[in-house]
Amino acid sequence: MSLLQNSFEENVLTTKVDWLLNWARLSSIWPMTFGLACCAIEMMAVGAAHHDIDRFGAGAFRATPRQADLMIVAGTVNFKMGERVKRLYDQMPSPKYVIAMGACATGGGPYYKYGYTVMKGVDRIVPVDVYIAGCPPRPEALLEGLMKLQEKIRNTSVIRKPARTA
Amino acid sequence: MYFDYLNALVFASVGFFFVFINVIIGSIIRPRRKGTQGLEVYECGEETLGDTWIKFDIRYYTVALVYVIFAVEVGFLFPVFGVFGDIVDGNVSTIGSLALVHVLVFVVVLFFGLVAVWAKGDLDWVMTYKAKEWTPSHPRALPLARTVAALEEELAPSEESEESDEADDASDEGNNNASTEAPAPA
Repeated sequence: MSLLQNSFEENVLTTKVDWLLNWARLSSIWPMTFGLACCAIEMMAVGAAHHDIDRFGAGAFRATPRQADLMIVAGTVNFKMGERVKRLYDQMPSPKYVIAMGACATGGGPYYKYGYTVMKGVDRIVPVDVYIAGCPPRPEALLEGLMKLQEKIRNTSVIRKPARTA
Repeated sequence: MYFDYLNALVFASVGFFFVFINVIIGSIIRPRRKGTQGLEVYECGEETLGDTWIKFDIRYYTVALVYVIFAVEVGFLFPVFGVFGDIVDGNVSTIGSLALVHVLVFVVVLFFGLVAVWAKGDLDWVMTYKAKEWTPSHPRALPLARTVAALEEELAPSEESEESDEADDASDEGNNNASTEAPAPA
């Protein structure tokens, strides 16, 4: 927890500050260069010119977790790879987000029943923000998942107290 | 006139304080890191073997030096053998044999150098860490998912127990049958 995090009531000033911070965060979600299986091909297609994830400010794929905000788990996660995924997630600085792309990262996919080395969903090791269905998902689906994540970031409260759920 | 200098001063001071203001704002707003897990050395997600502040063995320097000696040797031999055929084809054959002896002496001297380096042990590779002997200095959090090794450990005794259960069941059934059959005729 930071010094000012979730410590103010809602008023004009704090909502504006939160809007600014959230706008800054959602406009430059830098993903980590991280492809595990065939979903990564679709992720590369999203990064390429035709679908162009740069329109959403998320086109700067970083080669180190220190500079990344978003981990797109694109593909099948084995148990052996899962430890590495966890370690990479730990090495990312906060605030950090995870997109589980495709059926394998969401819940094991076609390896759910007999894949004895496959982790049944990456949400067993890291907190997932957005799940994207598909095997593999279309590039448009990944873009929509990114927009869902932006919507989620837009509604978070940074210095405000979190909204009561009643 | 001096107003231009004031422009430069304001510009420089804003540029100077801009850095520190951003650092202060970031330290106020950003979330704090909760554990020390993320502070590990980044090696593509792999676990780092040992400390990164080590005295690196420059053993490769010796190997490279030996390689350079033999590369220079090859470089010297090429022009010799470029004209060697011409010498032998000529009438004066003593020059050809003399050249061959010269070249052999040159190669043998360098070969003895290699033998000396080898016998001295400079070509042995020294490992800084041995992976099997290394243990992490502090315990690391394992992911919640079970690893393959853990699964194998879980599966190995369960199969045996299932087999023994089945054997017990079979023997129980046999006993039951025997016990039920035994009183029936009586």
